[in-house]
Amino acid sequence: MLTILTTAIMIVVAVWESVSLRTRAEAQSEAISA
Amino acid sequence: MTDNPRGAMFRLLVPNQHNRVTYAELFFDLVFVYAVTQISHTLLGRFTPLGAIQVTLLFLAVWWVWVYTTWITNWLNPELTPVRILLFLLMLGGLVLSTSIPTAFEGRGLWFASAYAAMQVGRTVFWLASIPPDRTLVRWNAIRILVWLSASAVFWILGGFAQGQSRLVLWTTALAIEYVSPAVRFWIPRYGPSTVEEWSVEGGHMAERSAGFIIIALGEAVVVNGATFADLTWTVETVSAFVSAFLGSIAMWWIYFHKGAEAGSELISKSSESGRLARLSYTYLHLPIVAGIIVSAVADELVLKHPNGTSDLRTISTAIGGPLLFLIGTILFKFSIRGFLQLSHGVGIVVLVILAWFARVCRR
Repeated sequence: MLTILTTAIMIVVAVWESVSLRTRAEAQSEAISA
Repeated sequence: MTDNPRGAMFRLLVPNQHNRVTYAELFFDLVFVYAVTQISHTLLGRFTPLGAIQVTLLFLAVWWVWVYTTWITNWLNPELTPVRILLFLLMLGGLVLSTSIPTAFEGRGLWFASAYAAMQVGRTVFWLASIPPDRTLVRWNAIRILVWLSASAVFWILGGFAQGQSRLVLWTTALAIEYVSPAVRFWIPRYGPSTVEEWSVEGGHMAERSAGFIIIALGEAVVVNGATFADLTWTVETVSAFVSAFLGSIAMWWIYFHKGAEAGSELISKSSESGRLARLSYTYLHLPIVAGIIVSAVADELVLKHPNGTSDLRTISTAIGGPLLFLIGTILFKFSIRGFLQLSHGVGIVVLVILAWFARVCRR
């Protein structure tokens, strides 16, 4: 149970970072094109 | 070969071209696959506060000898026979070191210490001898490093002759000398510190080598998971633990390699202060990342063998401590290359700390 929880935390961290970096990159490219 | 202005034994630097990791270096790494296995098994076998301190010390030594070799093979060319022979001798030393790990604080202390000191000092002497006389600053850098490593070697050997707590104190002193030395830029009396310009590295190679060690540590987690699972009866509990451990390894791979490793490689390749970045991001900050993966591998084995026994202290401390160390390492590593703290990692650290507190309360 404990390792399932820690694994879930790590997966959330990985997905969250990927999404936030993509959003940041899109915002930067929009700012450049504007 | 003699046309190389850096020296006949050195790698040629071609502008905008990344120096590749050679097969000799990958071959050398195999010894450290074994060293990482020995570290994780030793931790598993002596999971007491004193045992954890001892294993931490041994792990710090293993990491340091590997990372110093990486610096040297960043400068010297492993495609040349003398450098390859150096690597093979270092492999031999690494094998003695690794086989001594489980009993380094008992019968094989002197073997561990001698192998370690010989690798650190011997490699630096070879490097110093390879530097052409006209590269005065680089020669002085090598001399400074040799002075520090020779000083620590004395404590390693004395520790090898000592017993019990004395050995622990002497080896801690030796490691403290070595870990402090890059931070003070290998300062020596009268001649002062070196400058980071003298440490310039080919950044792409340094980043690739460090990523390679992350793969070695993840490989240990995968092997432990597979080997332990193979010996078990396949039930819902063991299969869940097996899948969970595998997903955990994938998550760690993703957190380190998706964008992070690449961003680091790009930054250090273009940096005018590659030596400073190599010291901070790849020498110091990779340490908790690797440690976190190894501790997680230990947790995987414990959970697989006792899928319902999550309340024992060993399982709690490794299952939470491993990912916590890993996230602390990666948030700091990414901060050093991106300049901002990754919120996802920060929240992950906080949640793990809360989970550790909760698990501790539940155990009472």
